[in-house]
Amino acid sequence: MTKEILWIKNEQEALENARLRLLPILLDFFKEG
Amino acid sequence: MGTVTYSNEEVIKYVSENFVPWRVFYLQQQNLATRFRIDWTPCVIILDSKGEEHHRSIGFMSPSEFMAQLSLGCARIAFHEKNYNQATELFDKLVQGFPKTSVAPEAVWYGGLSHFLASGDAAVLKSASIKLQEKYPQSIWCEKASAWGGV
Repeated sequence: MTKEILWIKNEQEALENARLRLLPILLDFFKEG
Repeated sequence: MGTVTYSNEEVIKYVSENFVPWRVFYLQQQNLATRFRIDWTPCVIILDSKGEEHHRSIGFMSPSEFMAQLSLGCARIAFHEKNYNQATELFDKLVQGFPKTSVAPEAVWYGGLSHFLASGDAAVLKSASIKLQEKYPQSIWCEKASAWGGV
């Protein structure tokens, strides 16, 4: 199992992944930490 | 969030298996912050696979609260898409898995409504109302369900 969440940084990549994997998107807006 | 919740093993597993995680540093992507009306961080939003928003939560969350909020988002997607059997299952699973979180009473209410919309059986609304009275009597969702009958 991965030791961290592998965040996607790009919107198009996130949408494409979600479409292909049929999964919802967790969008996290952050400032720090 | 990063040092407590996102480093939690259960959270990592849950997110990796059930979501496409997309992270935005909002100071550097003001266009997205404006589009999604971000007032404060952290702010997590659940989008369906087409990018439509279904749920959001602002502020720090513990691992269990965070996973419960994410579960609520998934259940809401099924509910909004009128997949009421799936929504019933997801709301019930949330209540069983995270009974002490802030969203559990809401999940009981929506679970009852989803079950009713799937079955047409009004008795399930009364069951949800009774469950709320027994387990979450102080919740606003208990008050909302009072119109459904109960004890």
